[in-house]
Amino acid sequence: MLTFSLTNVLGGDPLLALMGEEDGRLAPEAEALLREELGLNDPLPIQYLNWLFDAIRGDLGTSIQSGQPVTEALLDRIPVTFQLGMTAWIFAIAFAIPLGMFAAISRNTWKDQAATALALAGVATPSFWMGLMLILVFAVWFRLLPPSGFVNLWDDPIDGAKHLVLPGITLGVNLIGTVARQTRSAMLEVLGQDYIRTARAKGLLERVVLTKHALRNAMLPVVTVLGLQFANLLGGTVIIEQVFAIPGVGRLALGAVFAQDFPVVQGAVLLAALATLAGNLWADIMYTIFDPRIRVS
Amino acid sequence: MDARNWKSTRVSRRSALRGAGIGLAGLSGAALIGCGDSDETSDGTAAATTGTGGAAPAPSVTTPDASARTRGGTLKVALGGDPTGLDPSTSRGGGDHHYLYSLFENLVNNGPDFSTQPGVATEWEVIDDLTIRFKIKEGLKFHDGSDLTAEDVQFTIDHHKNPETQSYSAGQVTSVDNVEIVDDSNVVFHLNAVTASLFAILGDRNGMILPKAATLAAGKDFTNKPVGSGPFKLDSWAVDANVQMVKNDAYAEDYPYLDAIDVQVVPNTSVQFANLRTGDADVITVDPKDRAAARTTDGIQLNEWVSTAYTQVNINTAVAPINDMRVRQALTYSLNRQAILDGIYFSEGELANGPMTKASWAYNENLAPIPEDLEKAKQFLDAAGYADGLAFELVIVADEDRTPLSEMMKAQWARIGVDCTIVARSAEEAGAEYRAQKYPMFLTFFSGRADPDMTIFENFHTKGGFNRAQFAENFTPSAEALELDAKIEAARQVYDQAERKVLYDDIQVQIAEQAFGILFTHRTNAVALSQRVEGFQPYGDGKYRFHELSLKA
Amino acid sequence: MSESTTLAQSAPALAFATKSKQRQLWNLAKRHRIGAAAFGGVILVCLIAATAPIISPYDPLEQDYDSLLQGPSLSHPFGTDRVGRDIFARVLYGTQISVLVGLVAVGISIVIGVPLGLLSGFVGGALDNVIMRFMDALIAFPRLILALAIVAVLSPGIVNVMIAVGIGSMPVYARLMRSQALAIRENQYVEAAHSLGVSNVRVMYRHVLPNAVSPIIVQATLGLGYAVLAEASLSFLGVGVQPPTATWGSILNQGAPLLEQAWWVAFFPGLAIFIFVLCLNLAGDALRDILDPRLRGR
Repeated sequence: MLTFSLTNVLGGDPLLALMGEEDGRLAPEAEALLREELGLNDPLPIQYLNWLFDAIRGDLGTSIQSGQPVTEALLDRIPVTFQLGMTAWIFAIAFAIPLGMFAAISRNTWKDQAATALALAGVATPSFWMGLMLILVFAVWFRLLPPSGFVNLWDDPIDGAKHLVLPGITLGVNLIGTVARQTRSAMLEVLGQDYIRTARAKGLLERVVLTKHALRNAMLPVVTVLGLQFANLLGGTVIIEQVFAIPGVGRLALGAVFAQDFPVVQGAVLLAALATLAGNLWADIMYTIFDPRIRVS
Repeated sequence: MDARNWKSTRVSRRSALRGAGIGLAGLSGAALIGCGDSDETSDGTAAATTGTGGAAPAPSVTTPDASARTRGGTLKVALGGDPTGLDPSTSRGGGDHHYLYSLFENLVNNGPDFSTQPGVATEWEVIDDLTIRFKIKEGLKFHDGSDLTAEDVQFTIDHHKNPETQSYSAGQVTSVDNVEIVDDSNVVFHLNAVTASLFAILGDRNGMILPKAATLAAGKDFTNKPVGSGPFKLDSWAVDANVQMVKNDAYAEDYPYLDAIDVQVVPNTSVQFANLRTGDADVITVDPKDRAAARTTDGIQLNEWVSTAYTQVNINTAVAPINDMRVRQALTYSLNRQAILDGIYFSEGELANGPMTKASWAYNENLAPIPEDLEKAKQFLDAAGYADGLAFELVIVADEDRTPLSEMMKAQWARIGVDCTIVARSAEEAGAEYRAQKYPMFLTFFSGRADPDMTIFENFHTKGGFNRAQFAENFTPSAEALELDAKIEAARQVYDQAERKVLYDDIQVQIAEQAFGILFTHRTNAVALSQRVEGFQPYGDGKYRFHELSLKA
Repeated sequence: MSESTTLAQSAPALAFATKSKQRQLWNLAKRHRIGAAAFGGVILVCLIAATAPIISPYDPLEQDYDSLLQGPSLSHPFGTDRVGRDIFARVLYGTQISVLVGLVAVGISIVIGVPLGLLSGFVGGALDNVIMRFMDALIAFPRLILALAIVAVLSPGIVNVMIAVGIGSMPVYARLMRSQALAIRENQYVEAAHSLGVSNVRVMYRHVLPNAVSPIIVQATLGLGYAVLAEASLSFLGVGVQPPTATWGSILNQGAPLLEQAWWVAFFPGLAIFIFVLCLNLAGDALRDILDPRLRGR
């Protein structure tokens, strides 16, 4: 698995080469200057290797726009996106798991179908539309929450939390659908197992059966899928940060894409890839630790 | 600007008023439309004082009732975008001024009514038409602690003129031959042509004094880490996120009032407005679509005033088919400007008849807006040889306003058989490609300037900064263009404002008849402030001076 | 529950061959009512896409300057936008393009991903490694960021959006086909066929592909929903289709700043996206239930 990840990083940069080709669209003088500065006059493989070795050492180059080292810019913004992502995660988990359980318990009834439809509705809503509507309702009409911006939780937990609610919900809504469905199917599978019937036969309360036994064992695939969904969550941050004016990695990447600030784009893409791999790794680890074959029922 | 009146060595309040002339009278009538308790009009700053030995130098800019203002606090601003850069020479956006005016000091300042006010220079003397001496205040320091001397003033002008700098406003100081250093506190500007707009120019980018040593040392990085002598210094700038400016403690004893200015970049105008209403922002620019709502919102101060800005599509007269005057005329007659005003700008503003708006003394009230006349447009198009239709590309930077505007233009031009393809690019790409003569037109806006010469020269003279035709290979201006050039140059060499107005009226007539610009509307400025903000003065050029503000306790 | 079918037998279930099959289909529909309704919704949207020019009351590009930013009314059921265009017409025409973008994007994913996955699984060895590494690399990037980067580099526009979204979603199909190919490869009758001298290509064609059709269709249904959402997101971010083309995403984008002044400009395209993607997801889920009941629990 680990070599898997490493080979990904090395092999996974078709875009970088692509982007190196495309800077012919700048004005002639600027382009010449840029090529010189970025060492783009070297043959492509050399460029790539240079970049890679620098990256491993922690040097991702300098932003064309702002002159700031890319690594520094990313490090500044990672905590921001991290807090946003965590909020979305927690929100999604808090809603999706009960929803999935509910659907599993009342399976194939209208309640199940309604719950599933609800979960899917979350996936089907365009996130920026939802974000703008939430701002309109909760910030403008009802003055309950701030409309945009970011306050670091370390600096001011309460204000920070208030700023994270709306964007966190918007980002998490998409996740709910996937997690809820996964919970549902995992629960259904577990509930059909023998040891559940045994537990019921023993006379344990249904509630205990559900939470202590079924849920715990069903958690594995759910937890796994959470890790795998990390990538989608990251993709969503680009939009959410734009709508809510949050200075995170997504917004940095977006601005860099428009300004053709290649060092920043490369750095952000690499970061995204690493984060996704981390999510996959998490899923792998969870699986190895909690492989149901190891637990004796 | 009647520069001859500056022969007196001190600036008195009366001469400030006289110099303002028509501009002031025109402005106070048109200014401050709208409800909310907007602040009192300032009719010029307090008389400047020359520095007295030993005491801290008096600030270049003060605002009324200085003693009654509360000190401290952080002003929260929400703007739609970053500065394009913080180097006055190489940055190019109209929104940069909001920062630049607080970070830098100008040799002289343009007051709210365009009158010239002292700045770094406390006195000036017009020795003759081509020679002006400025006396520089003593004791001024840059943010890095170095002294501001005559050498820096000379450097600033040279820096703009230096082709290596690639200053966007190099064209404004072509008539300055050199700046002579008389001594540490005195410089003499030697002009090679009479320039009536010189003081207004010095109140803008070209007059923002740069520190010679620091600028040379920083090179290209200066735009990210500017060093000025203004009342605020740059604390941090997270690209596309926020800009923090902090009080320059060394500036003056009791000025500026604020401790810090915190500008958040909020890309969405609705979210900006939301921030104002929730109190998360103290200052926002009110987009035309939100103005109706702003007028009925309680608890905010709304300031609306006529702007020098107008909306247009920038044309490149070197690229076909725009090089043909008849095509330009066809395009301009086939536009339905009223629809543009109503649909895109929510009826805020007026139809444009020329580049000068009612905010300027050079406004030509006798010039009618170009009417929509499809017949005439078709005739022009036929005469130009495009009876079967015409196709070209229009490059835009896609945003809330410009995308629907370009769609409107496309639909309106389609009525005379013109097929305009809309090409959306990022700001950098669009600018670079347009400069490289790739497109005949670029939908970009002009924010207006203090002096008509600056507006008209930059946009309509063949060597103007916004006139990209000059970068075409083998560009030969048409006879009409040269005629216009001559008129523009003549108008900047006359000091008497009444005489200049006649010349600018004529220039605008030619611009309109020969379609050297395709203009749509004149804009109005609108800024909304939270209740706790004090000291706001609407400036004729529409740019904010955050350093003048204070926050009520 | 429905009869337990293997993957091989489910493909014919979708063929309208004989009357008993039609009866089977009807029974299926009755058992999965929501899925069936959703599927109906999807068909309806596709019909609208196909007939938009016929049923639309206005030209989507026509600007009526007397009706700027009007709310929903009898003459304009969805209202008008700020340049006087009828929103209903634009949403109808937008259906065409949004559905088209979605279909082509998914098409690209399939056309590139399926053969690659097939090759990879069937041939194995070094080729398998290379192809799979490439797929893994693609999966490593969040799809939206990948699409964004691709479109930004290639320059915005419909075609590039389709390509970008298509490429981003490709690995799933490749992996799917690969596992199908791997499974079949071990199968005995393939060995038998080989010993008879049947070429690899024929084996792939006659045995692997038919079995893979079902999971591909399920995936494609869900993928279509994602593609439509992705197009909307890319338009919102400013790298989508060019003006004045109307897709649901671009209409939404123009309506987003006007939520307070003119909620209808953003509401209706948003609703269209929501309905279409929801139907696709529900239909896809139902299809998955039908085609492989073991996965969904009883």
